[in-house]
Amino acid sequence: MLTVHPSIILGSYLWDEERLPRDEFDIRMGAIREAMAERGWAGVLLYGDAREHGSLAWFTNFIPRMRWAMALIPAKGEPRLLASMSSRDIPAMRTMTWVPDVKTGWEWRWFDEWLATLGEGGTLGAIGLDLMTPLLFGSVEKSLGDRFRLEPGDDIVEAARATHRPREIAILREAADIARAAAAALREAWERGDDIETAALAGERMARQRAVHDVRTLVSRDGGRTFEPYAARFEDRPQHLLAYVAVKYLGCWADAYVESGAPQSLRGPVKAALDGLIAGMQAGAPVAGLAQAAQAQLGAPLHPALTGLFGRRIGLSLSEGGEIGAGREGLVQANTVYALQAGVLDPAQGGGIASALVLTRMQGEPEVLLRSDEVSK
Amino acid sequence: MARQNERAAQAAAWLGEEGLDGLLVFNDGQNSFLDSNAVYVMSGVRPIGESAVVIARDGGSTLIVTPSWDGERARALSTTHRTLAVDDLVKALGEVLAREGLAGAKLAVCALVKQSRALARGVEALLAAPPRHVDWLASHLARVRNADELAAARKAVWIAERGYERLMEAARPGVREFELAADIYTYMKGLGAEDNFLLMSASQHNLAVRAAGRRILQEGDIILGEITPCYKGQFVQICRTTVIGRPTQILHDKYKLLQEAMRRGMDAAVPGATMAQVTEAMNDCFRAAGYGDYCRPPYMRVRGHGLGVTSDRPGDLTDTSEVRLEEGMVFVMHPNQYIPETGYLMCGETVVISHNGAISLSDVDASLDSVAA
Repeated sequence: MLTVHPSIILGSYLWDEERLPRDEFDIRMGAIREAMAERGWAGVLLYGDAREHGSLAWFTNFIPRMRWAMALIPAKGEPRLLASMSSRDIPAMRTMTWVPDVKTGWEWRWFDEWLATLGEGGTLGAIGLDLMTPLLFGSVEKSLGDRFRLEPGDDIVEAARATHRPREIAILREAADIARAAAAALREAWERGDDIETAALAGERMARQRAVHDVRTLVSRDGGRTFEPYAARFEDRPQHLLAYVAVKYLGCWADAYVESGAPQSLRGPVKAALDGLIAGMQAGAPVAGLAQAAQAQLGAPLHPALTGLFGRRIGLSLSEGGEIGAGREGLVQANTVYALQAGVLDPAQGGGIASALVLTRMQGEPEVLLRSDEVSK
Repeated sequence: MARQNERAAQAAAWLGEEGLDGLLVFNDGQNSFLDSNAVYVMSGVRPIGESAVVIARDGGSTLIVTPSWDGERARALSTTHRTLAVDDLVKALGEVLAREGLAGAKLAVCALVKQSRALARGVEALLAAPPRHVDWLASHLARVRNADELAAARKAVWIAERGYERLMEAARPGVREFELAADIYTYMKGLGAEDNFLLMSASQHNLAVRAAGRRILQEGDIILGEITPCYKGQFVQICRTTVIGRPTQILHDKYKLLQEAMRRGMDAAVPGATMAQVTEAMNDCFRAAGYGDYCRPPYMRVRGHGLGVTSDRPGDLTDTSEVRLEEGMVFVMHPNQYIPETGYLMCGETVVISHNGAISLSDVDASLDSVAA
């Protein structure tokens, strides 16, 4: 769920070679190397920024804590990473990636120098360049001149990231554990009598103490009708608790809704819809059919805060595609972590939402990594 | 009835002076403590997602936020005449331009070049003629804090100082950097800080300040803290240096150099002075002590800078900036410096410019502090 973006990502952020060894990235980079060979590209430009960096992180482990970064990947040889940080900060940036050659993006000569190593000209694959600002893209275009042309390469990333790799899944499991702990801390604070923002802060504190990069919370001040980001008002204690917490651990997101004290008339259909969704998450199942079945279980319109979606893939981005909603195309992927959600809004009773993180398998029902009603009472 | 937004009114007056019909300002929901958020300046709302404010020459204004479910919050906070909450910004913007009679009009845009290319392409496709880019406008109009903003900045500095006190209480050998950062970050959030650009790291010989990592604090470590809470849209910053155990004499001596540079910089920061003059006043201190070669990256970055989200003016304190200071400007001054004998040290305060020079908003300015080992 979209929340206010913080000004910096905190927490432990070093490249953890024991969790994600260099050979893991060699395998991942294989997808790009293969595409370069097939398409005759001289290199690839891979862009990410503080707001969206899933693909950049997947290939390089680098997460821009602020501003942007770009991997410059030649057809032969090691890549270079440009990070939009001062030269003072580059030693710290080098600890965040396996890429040995990290340079400041504030000195554009490092881009031009890399480009010169590619020879007289050719075609470059462009990944994530639609996220780039026109200002930065102008610098890229100027350097490319008429010697190099760009060809879209986002399809390579989509194919490579369509399922989660084992090491990714291991981190997502840990992220789910931290999200569970944060949700529990939030609910416990609420049940002790704290206002909703003090409770949200208790959840955030729990997650940050476990070295997460980022925590996002949303609270409902009106019993689940609407959601708002943290505003430090410390005065709202609605008739029941409904909040959202997302944590990012070693680059991977996990999220959960937290509910306490909602009337059974809200909980019942929401639980039934979530049960149905989880049972239906079998590889190859059409997502539109899942959404239709969940909608029937709810017996009321989906909560508007869920923007028409019963779920999506989650990982290095809060939303990695694979949306489950009415009219959506596509099939459930195996070996992938999905964030599922179901909720209703009743004008008199307020709102209720439940969520789950599930890992799909090649066959059969998925493994449930986290269910919000595990931590809700 | 919208509350008065002086910057939006000034923008409308500027449109009239320039013979333009309307202004479109943008933000993508990303917050930077170093950059103006043009949508916040013109509406009072820090958006969650892609957003825009449309200001007509007659002063009429419309805020468009995404996602659609953020409408209630946006309407409660916005100073614009109308507020829309949608899931497709470009489509809604097209509708607003048509309704306001601005579809074929002479328009200016602010901060569109800071958005994604995908959004910029969508917006440009709506416009009949290339717009005038005025990316400087929002930060220029908000360059001097108003009374409410200054009061919020003072409160933010109060929060930062409490955060530093908390750091002094909690820092001890055996604690990991991220645990300490988590504690002071959430503590300041509990005091009202809605955001915090917190850098905090420790080593026996720091090369620079970093974000907190897994490093375990040890006796003799020098903790660097760049504590940067945001309160009601006002980022502030204090820079502190704390030793675990007893600081060495050389550390005391070198830290005095930073304090002296800070004093000289504050004295030089009078209305009309350029940022370069203030920077040189600080650099002169280091040069006199034999550290002239270190007054450049990677041994330091800048001697201070403006603070978002309202206005990043007066920009970076560098020896090339010809920006002139004005009374009421708020920014951080920090002669943070790598010194070969001690490593990187930090000393800085958020200041407001008065006719006599810079006034620190802190109750207690930076000194070399220590905690028990």
